[in-house]
Amino acid sequence: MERESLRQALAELVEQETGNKPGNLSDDVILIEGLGMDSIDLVGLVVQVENRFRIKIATDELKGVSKVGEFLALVEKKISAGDAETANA
Amino acid sequence: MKLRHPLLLRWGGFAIAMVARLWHLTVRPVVMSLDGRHHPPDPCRDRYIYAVWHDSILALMYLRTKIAVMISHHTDGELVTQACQQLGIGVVRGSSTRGGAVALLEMMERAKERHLLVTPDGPRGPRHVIRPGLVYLASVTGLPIVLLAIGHSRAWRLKTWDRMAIPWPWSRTHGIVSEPICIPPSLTREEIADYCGRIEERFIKLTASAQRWADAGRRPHPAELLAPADSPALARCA
Repeated sequence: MERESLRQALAELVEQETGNKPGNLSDDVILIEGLGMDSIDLVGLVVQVENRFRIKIATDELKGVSKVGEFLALVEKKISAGDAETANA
Repeated sequence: MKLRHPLLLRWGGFAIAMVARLWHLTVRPVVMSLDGRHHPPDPCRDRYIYAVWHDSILALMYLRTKIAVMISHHTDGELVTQACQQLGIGVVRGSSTRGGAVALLEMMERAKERHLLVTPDGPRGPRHVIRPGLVYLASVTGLPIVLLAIGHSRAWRLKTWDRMAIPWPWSRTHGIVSEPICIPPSLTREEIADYCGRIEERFIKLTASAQRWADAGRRPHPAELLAPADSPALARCA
């Protein structure tokens, strides 16, 4: 999945979670402060992303993630890993 | 002076754990459980989210069981983490102000095999005001909340935001363990805030009762403390 379509999907999920359309979703935006979320919103967003893309994000993998770009990179990596597993099965 | 060296932190934590153990051997706990059960039960059978005000966090010493507690990322939190690990208490680092989302996810994971302990007014207050994390955790994990209301016959109060209580040696600590409170799944933000308000009101009342018990020495009757069965305030668990 391309980065821009992933960004679009993330915008939809953020809107569902917070009730507000995110203005700027560029890579260097800080996830919590930049998107007007708190920790509960972020947990909800992670769960939604997991369900939408059928991936599982471990809490350890989220520890270094603070910006939108880092989050998208992590989701991209998990989706590709999932695709590779499906192809190998 | 802040301790930052890992070895010093480790030794500091060990020293705190030892002092806390010895200290608590001199403090007599007197506990009343409103649901008539022994708390905490074996976590393989039943698990709960125990809530204790930040000023009474030392009550953690009495919970000898598999339990996970959330401790903030502040430097003093590192020392407390080391002490908890020496005492065999599982620690999840984070708070509502820093690393909260990862900590919540980790607590959700730990809830599958341990009880959880939450200080709902931590890490920075305001004192005795419940923040949404407690209700959210209960809602997503399905674990009932049990309030641990603490009163001390004699205690020093630190000059911190929470007025942390340090019980005097050879004093009594009175604990009232609430009936389990069940929180439904999929709550909206408004519903979470509503539950926070109701639980806060109940917790403040129980804490006042525990302190009156400690001051006067007269054991309250459990019926005086139970939330009325038909009360719309909080749903008791089946």
